[in-house]
Amino acid sequence: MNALLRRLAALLLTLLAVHALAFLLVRAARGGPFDGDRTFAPAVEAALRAEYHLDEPLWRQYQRALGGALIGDFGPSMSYRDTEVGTILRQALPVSLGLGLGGLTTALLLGLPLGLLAARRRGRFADRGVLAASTLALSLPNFVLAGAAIALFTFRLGWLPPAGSGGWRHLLMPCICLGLPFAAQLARLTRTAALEVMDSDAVRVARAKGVAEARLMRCHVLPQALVPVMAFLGPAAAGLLTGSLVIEQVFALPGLGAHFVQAALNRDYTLALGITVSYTALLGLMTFATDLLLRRLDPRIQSLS
Amino acid sequence: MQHGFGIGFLVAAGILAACAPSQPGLRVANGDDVTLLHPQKATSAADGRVLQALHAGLTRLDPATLEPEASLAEAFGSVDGGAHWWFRLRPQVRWSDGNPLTLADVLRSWQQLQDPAFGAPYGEWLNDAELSLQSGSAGGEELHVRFPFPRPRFAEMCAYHALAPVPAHAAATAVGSGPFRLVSRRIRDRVVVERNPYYWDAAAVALPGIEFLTVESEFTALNLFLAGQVDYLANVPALAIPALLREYPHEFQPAPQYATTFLRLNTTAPPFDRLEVRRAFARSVHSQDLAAHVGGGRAPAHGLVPAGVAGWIPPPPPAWRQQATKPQLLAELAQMPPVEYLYNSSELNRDVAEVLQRQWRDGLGVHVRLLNQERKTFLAAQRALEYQASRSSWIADYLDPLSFLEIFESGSGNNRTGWSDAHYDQLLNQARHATDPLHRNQLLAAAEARLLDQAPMVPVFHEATFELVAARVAGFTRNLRGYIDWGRLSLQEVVP
Repeated sequence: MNALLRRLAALLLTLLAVHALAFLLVRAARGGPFDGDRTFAPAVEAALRAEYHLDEPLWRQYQRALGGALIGDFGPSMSYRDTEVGTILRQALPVSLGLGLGGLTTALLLGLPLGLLAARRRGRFADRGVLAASTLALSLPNFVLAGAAIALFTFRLGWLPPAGSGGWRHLLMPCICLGLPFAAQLARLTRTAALEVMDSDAVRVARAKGVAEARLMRCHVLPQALVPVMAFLGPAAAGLLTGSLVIEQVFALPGLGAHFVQAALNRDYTLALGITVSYTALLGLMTFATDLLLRRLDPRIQSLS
Repeated sequence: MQHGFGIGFLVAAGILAACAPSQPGLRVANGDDVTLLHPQKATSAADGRVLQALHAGLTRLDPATLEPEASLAEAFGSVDGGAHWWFRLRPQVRWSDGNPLTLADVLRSWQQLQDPAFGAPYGEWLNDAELSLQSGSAGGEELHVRFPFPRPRFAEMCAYHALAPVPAHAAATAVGSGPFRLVSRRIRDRVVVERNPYYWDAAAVALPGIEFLTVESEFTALNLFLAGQVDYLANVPALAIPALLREYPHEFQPAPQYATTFLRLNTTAPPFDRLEVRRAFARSVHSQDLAAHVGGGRAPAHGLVPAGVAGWIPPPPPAWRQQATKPQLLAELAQMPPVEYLYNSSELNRDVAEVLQRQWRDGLGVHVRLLNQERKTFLAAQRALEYQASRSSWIADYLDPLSFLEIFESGSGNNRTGWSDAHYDQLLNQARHATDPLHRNQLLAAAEARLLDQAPMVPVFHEATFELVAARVAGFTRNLRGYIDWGRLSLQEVVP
């Protein structure tokens, strides 16, 4: 219990540090939120700066930002000037979470069985096939994968729309394209972990006792092979959520990835801060959840900590 | 467990929202996301396209001629060569929520625009105006606008969303007076509008609604068009232009735009603080060559003001353009340290930079270092005059040479070259006070001649629009301003 509380306290401290760093770094970047091709009249620019409290000393701005962040209010966006950062997060976060969840499902559905298959057929055609396919999926950038999928499924077969949001068919290609590289990593990791377990004394004894191969894989190999896989899943899930920028751009999905980059490019201080803190919280919670799960799976981890 | 359920619900809601069914009507790939739906505060082209659908001005433009015609105002006119304008509102004009719209609303909206504390970028259009409501000669109430000097294009400016009236009883982002009214807006996804039954010309509006989709990638927008999912694209990828010209000659017709791409030279620091150096660099820029190699359909520019406005005769190029650079100066330039050319990251800007680098090397023997910066950093550097030569462009909000030439007026925030010339400022001031259109154009042409002669800027291209419009869209007219009156478009059956 104490260990859990310590982890939560560490997460809170991390959030505070990230908030302070993000606040300073985004302001350190050259240019301001109201710089454009057309220069505003000095009185108009002064009015805008006053509206967003940018005319106040930095410490006062930080105090204001921190006070807001503590109650989950990041204020109005500086590029979406009629919209609160909270509204943007509420609209975009579920899309990114949905996309990430779809990608994670793809990764698990493909990566785990293929990894186990490769381990069982070590050195044979299936094993080599899985290794070659995973190398290909890992080396292809997201946008190439997405382009090839659009060319095939939209323009060749006419099955799926090329982009946009309007039905479950719109989400199929993005989820698969997002999940494939993670599926490849997962397959390789599962294969390595399963091979290690299969070579262990425990499994050799079980096999000598005449335990059926299917049961051996299900009850002895899989649970142990899952430990390193679970350790990978936490950061992978966070990566799926935060790394969906390219996929969101190619498929024109209204997720958080594009906001994350655009907020920094537009010097939208409030939105950049809101998204950075939200992503950090998400990443922290994912790692925390993975730790909890690992303790369940492997009692040795609990005793060590 | 409860948290897990909450997150699950949030995700499901997000996916369902992303799967919202689309309504029948026109589908527009609007490029960048709509950032602000307030007509008086918005400045981006993507915002402007949506606002033109939601908010009507006192006037609207004929899309073919761009001449102003009556809209919310049933009649309007000017005296004193455009220094004094009057507008009479149509009877029974209503906001999109059914409430009556009056001239008092227009007056209050414009007074709000004049207030610097309100933070409206186009407030300067009315800063020096005197506004009043008066009884007109026909008996009804009229809005009178008096400027200290003529504003011959003011009726055209009234068609722009910045001068559209905004309601006092509701948020300007929700209620307007245009041919369409807001149904929903989802950030970074779409803005959905439907026909406004209270629009003064509602009977003539054929489209049931429009969906403005946020599609930032030009390739994605093109994919959507090719798959028949959108009817209008504001821009196409440069790589696709040759194929589109060949295969979609009806849908894709690049058209001239009232906009110019040019170079700024920093006249406050070496080497461009010397007139002969600026002239030598300007002379070595071959816009014909640039347009042919990297222009993608844009026309070479020999001046700042594009052609296309009735009565505008561009000045002849300065005499020194035909003269060779003196050998002594050439020798001096060859010894000079590398000149830095600053541009903001984009494929076209990079191509232009590379051609310029070659032209200056071949023409002057100068080594040019290319500096590529992200847009906001670039703009800040340009504003602070921390560059030697840099890339720029200007899109006019209304068809008036003055809207280009006043960029380089002394003290203008858009000048960004440090160049200041009393003679140039005087010519612009004289033009502002001229009541005769011919004389006004002559003064403006003289000002442009002075600008080109002093070379704080070097013209490169006159811009073009690269709109892709589906064959089923009827009533679409390409024009210099990229002005679209959504209320006049309709969808038709297309026989393959």
